[in-house]
Amino acid sequence: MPIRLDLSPKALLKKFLNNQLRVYSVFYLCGIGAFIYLTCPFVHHRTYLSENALSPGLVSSDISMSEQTRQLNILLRQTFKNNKENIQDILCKLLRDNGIEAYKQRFSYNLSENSSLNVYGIVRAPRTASTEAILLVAQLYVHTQDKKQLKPNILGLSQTLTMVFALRRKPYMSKDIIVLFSSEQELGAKAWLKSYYHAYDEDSLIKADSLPAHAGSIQAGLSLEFPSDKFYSIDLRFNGLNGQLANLDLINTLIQLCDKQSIPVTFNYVYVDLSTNEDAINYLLKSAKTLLLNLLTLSTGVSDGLHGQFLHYRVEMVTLFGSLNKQHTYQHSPITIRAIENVLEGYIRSINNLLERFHQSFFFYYLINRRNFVSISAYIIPLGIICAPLLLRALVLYMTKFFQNDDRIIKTLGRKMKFPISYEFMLKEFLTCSVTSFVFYTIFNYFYSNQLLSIFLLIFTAIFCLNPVYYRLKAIKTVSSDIDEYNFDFYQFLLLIYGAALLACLSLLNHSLAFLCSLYLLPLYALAGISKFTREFFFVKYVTRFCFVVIFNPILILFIYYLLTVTLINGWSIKNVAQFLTDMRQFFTYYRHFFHIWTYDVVCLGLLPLWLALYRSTYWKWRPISSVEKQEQQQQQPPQVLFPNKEQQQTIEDEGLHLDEIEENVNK
Amino acid sequence: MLKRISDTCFEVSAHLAVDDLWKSFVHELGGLLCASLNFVDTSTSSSSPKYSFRPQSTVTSQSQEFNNSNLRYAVLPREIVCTENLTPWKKFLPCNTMKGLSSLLVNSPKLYDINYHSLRMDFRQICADSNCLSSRLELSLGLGVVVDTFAKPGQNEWSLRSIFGQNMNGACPLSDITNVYIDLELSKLYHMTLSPLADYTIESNGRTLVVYDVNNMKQTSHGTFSLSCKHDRPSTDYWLLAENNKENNTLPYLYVHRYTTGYGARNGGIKTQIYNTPDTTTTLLYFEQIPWYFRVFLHTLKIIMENGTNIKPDRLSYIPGKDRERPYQIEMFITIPADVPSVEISFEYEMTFLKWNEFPPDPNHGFYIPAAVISTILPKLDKQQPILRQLQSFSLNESLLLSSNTESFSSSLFVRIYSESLLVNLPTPDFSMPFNVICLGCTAVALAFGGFHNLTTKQFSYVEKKEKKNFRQYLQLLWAKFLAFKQYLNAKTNRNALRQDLHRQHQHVE
Repeated sequence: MPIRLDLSPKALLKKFLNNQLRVYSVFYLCGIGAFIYLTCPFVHHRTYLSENALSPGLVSSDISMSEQTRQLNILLRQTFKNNKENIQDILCKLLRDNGIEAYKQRFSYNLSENSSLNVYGIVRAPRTASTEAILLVAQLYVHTQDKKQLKPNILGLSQTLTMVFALRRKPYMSKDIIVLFSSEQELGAKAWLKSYYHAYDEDSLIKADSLPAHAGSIQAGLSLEFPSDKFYSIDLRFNGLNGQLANLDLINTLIQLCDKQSIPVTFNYVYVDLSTNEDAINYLLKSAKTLLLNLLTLSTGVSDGLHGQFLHYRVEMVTLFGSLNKQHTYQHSPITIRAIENVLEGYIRSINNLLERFHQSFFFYYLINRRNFVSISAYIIPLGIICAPLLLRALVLYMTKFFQNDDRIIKTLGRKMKFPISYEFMLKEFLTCSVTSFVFYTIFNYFYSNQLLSIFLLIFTAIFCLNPVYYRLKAIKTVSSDIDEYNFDFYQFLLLIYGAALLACLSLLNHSLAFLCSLYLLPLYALAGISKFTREFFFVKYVTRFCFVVIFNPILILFIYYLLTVTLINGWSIKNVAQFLTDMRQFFTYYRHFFHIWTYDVVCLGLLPLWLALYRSTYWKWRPISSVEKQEQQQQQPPQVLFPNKEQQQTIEDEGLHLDEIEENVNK
Repeated sequence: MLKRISDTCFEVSAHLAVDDLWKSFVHELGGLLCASLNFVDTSTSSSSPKYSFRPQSTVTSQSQEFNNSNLRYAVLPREIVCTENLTPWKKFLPCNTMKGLSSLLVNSPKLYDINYHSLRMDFRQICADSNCLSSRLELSLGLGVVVDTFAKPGQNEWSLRSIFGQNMNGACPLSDITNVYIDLELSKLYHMTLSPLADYTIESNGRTLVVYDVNNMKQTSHGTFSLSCKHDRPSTDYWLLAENNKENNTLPYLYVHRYTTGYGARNGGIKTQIYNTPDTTTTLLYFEQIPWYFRVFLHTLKIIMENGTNIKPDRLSYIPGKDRERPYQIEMFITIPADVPSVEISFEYEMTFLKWNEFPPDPNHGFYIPAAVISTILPKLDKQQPILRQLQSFSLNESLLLSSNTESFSSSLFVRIYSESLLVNLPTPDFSMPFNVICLGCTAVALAFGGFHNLTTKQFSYVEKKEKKNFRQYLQLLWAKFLAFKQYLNAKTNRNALRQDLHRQHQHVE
């Protein structure tokens, strides 16, 4: 059923055309509203286990090695206290004493001399020939809950060790278990992964030894972070790099196991009590908080745990963090070692039963709480509503401006043209914007001192904000002679299409980032559109330019992006400007390269050129259509005005002469 | 353990092609061993190695030249050897599981609790006498088992009963030899004490072998033979020793580690590391058969020694695969210099998109790349394992176990090592909801496209409404149309008449 404009009354259409800005604003606000509406229980789906093979692991448990875990705890605590340097050797020896092959991997990073050691061991499964593997990761040191300091991950290490010792003797294992004790936080894991997959050529910032032993394709994994021996709830972290998420089945398995052991599971430390009727407003607020935090984490592209690195290599993984928050009012005692042991055992046995790699259930979702989620079919709608004005406006511009029934139709080479478009000028304009942003993008990564960086930032802010003025002064004549309102609208039309395409692509890769980008881009288009009224309303010019430069400044956006990222990784840690600049420099030069976070690239190569193009277009000095028409009427020679080139004019006239002949030919 | 490997050499007969023979052989063998060997496709998963496999029987030694096109090699890496294969395998034995060594295999679930096991079956023709004028058939069956006796903490003893769940039920009366050999090489480290004393020992190159002759009724009490051993716990020094001193006794002479490289669903690679411990130059033969859906690039083939220098293979035979027809086949001779501890062979491949009906029922499980085969002749060394040597003897003049003379130990040893088989995920479509996504998606796109196409290509304008006609007007219109048609016909006939008149006039004038 084709969409037909003539179905709607003419008056309604006219009304819409007159109130476009209002309609688009309504769309924008509705989109935001719809996103907030996702927190309401009507949109949620309840989670379920889609993969049947996962369920046997949930039934019973037969490993009980709490005593050994406790002994290992004592041993490891002493080791961390007395000889920190030898911790890798001791872990290696522990694994080998229990008949598990263990290896060390040396790696260095950041072009520095000092190197660190990863330790890993492989428990070979008796049932198969090392074709598949499960990964258990425990970092040597982990961030505490407030992200202020690093603490040895004693409980995580001992839990992993005892679990491996116990499972070594189980004849049912059909996948190898790899235990990895990585040092230097995410860098160790990255180095190990690079060696495991032999992906050295990506960049040379991390240098790592090759691994002496492998264990087939890694199906899934689990990372354990327990900074303190006592913990009252488990914070489950699943947000990966660049908006990647672990399979929902994996998370559901873990939550089901934890529920069975009555371990409260939180997301971002938010716990929702689903058993009792929680206060509706409380429930909504908690849902909104979880949703928003997930949105921000995913859009920055950084992971909230070690698992992000592994997700990048298609190893389904989440992080369990032992948090100190008491969730029930009656909860006084910490979670027992036995409980967490059962969770681990059930998890490994579930994965062990898996016949295929995780492929069922959801890869695109927002978790609202541990039993409810929003699927892609629901959360893509708000983004669609927000982006709809882009396409609507493009269509309106196309239909009203380029399909008017006016007499100014000129026939050139079989194509209908209503007005001349100076493509060259537009191309130049857009290329200027792209090149400027690309230069900014590349230079930004090469600063080794704060002064240089701040000077650079100042210079580029100035370039960004002042370049239209310079441009206008220099080429004022070409601008005013060539450009009319049609050209301005056509340029707007192209930019709208470009923006819509950008957001559509982004929404498929990283929905959260696309959502935030659309929130940023839509007002820019509105402001550029409003700037058309600068003739009628004097102050509009200044208001739009002020908004462009002050509120929507892309450098400000970069600062906000960095602040958000750092806060999510390390907590709020800004003390003074110098330190802030140093950290920022390091972040942009090293950190994002290590982990292939491309949010910065999207901001610099996607948003920045668009901002620049739209900002510059507000300075265009085009002639309004009415004046053009008057001119034409006076001169009575519209082609001359539209085609200053004489040759072109000649061809048009020729065509006009031979038009009858051509028609006859066609008829024949 | 996982691999089902069969290599067979055929004599070319006049009526049947090799492929047909191979197909029927594979099917029969599959039926005999209760294995799904019938899944071995004659063309896509079989190959004819040029050098790696040669007949070790009298069949082709009679004909002068060996033709590798009569040889077939196939692997089924997806299947795991299990009880269903063990049961038919056991039935080949003369006493089944009633008597002899095979009586240990009665409790087969217990057998599958161990860490590693493999089944082997060789069937060949050998010489009946030293002149090789007549021949006879030899069927050799082998079961390899690896048991980790250190698995349980605090346990430092093992017995036949603890491993197999059963003691040996005497010797099979049909057998000539029923011997149990124990290599005491590890006794230097762990101080093993065996519980019944051995019948005799064999000393060879400083290595001690203990032999129990079960046929000799001295060892059996009430017709059963039991064996137990006590030993020390291994210390971690052992691991450190193994790590620091590569020439340690415990390491094998030649071992292989193979793994996939790369991630994602487009490109990948295979790396094979061959570790060579003896201080002599080793020449080895590397063979790899890769399914057609991994497109191997030969230009990426690299052989790198540990010191970083590239070496070239002495001889390379490469048969590129064809989609859905033939696997890739790489075969090469490599010489490892004496002082190089390891060599790394690597090459890259590209993954193909399979057709939707070519995927197995579990597409997300992944696709196997069969094991590489490394064949070499180990040089004569002092520290060789006599048992291995004896079992691997491919002498045509004598059967394997019947020759217990220690002199055959001194000959050089041919070994064939199978590496790890690999599991790789090909790009897989989401099979769970093709109709939802494809059908609905396409419909939505088509609907939207129609509308947008109309909007952007057509010009819309308001048309005045036509007045409704009543029946009478309709009739009038019809009448008018009829009249018009009549007139048209008249005009046409008149014109024809006119034309004829003109024509006539013309003729008349002429």
